[in-house]
Amino acid sequence: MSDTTQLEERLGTAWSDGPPLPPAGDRLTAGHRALRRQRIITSAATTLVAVAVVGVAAAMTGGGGEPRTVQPADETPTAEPTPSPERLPGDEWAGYDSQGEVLLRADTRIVERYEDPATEGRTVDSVGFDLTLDGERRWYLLTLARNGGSSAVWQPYGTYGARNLGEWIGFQLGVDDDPTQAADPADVRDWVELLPNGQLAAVRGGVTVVEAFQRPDIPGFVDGTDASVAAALRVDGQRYYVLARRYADGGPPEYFRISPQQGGPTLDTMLDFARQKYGSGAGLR
Amino acid sequence: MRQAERDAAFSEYVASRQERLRRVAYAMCGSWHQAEDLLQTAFTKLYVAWPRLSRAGVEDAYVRRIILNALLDERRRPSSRELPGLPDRDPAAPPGPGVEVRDELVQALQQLPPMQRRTVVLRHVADLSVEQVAHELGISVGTVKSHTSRGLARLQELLATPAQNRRQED
Repeated sequence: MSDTTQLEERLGTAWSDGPPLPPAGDRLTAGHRALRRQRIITSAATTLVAVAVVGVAAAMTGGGGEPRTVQPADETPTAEPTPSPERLPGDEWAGYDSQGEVLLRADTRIVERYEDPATEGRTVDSVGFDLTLDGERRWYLLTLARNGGSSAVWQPYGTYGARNLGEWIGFQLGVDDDPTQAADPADVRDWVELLPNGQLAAVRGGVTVVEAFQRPDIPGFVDGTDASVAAALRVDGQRYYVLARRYADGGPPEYFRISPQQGGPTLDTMLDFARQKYGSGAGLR
Repeated sequence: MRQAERDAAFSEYVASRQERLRRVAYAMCGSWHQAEDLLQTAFTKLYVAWPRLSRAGVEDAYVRRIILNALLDERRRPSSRELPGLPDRDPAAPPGPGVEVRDELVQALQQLPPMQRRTVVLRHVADLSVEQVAHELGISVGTVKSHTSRGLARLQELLATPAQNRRQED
């Protein structure tokens, strides 16, 4: 038997013990509490909206339709829309309002909803939608940051050849589908480190920082006092681009990997790509 | 879906799946306490979204995704950098011939880069196919294979190195 086969077997059988598991009833009780909380929050938001709409109904005219707050998708995914005092911008079908509630444009139909696909770190809530409206179908990914900022990115159904909403969200989160790009964005931390002085340093052999700009001009990527850097790397013979940032209010650095296929041939073209992504509100996650 | 039906279906699911899913969480994080916390969080979210997720038949995938996302978040906090198996944090596992072997394996898994650890755990602890792992992580089959292969090779290196030396390397 080969070493690899032995290791695979060991991985499959080494977990037979552990502390006793709680009864399923305990899980159920926690679920009941969470569902009650969600219903209370949704109910409160709907009540406030209903009161507010009396005063603002006259102002809510024009294109885009009245957005609705989203009921829990598993309960009534095609419920009657509840008018909201806040409007979705332009041609958007979905977004967060100023209170962090998800709004959907009136008459959209939810084909699928995916909870929390990108909820981590500074992103405190996220949701993916497969929506249809008037024969058009879009995939949406909404993210809400801890500081109240939000983003909404959408693309037509089938973009990238994705077979479903989950696959498309995977692409949006930077887990690409190109086998030659065999690294997760998280792996960038195994390549480089954003130092306190704002410089980017390679952390292992085989990684070279070919070119780097400190504090690149990418509106929306960082604020005034945050540290940031854009760099071209060579990693084990392959070229990559990296954007890194560290917020001035603390926390670990964040890294974003951009492939040459996305960013183009030079660091300047990559910066154009990044500006476009942030300018559209999509970001690079 | 009526609540009684929902509760019954959810309870049946939990009873049948929680042990296997906790193994995945434990293999990913290296602490039984943290694994239990992750699993409870995931089950709570699962219950809230149960009708849709159960209709789609993606309960396991959803729980695994919550665990992986939560863990990634935890790993980014400096306070989470603890070694697995601390006696004041982990409940004592029942004695048995596999405990030392398992602890060594868990420690080695924690030293893999995130994507290698995910693919190795999903392939060989969760027992998913290459195609299923690719689908869950949103990457190609080829990428899954390469990460898994590199992860297993690195695990073999780590397991061949005495634990004391491994900690000195950290």
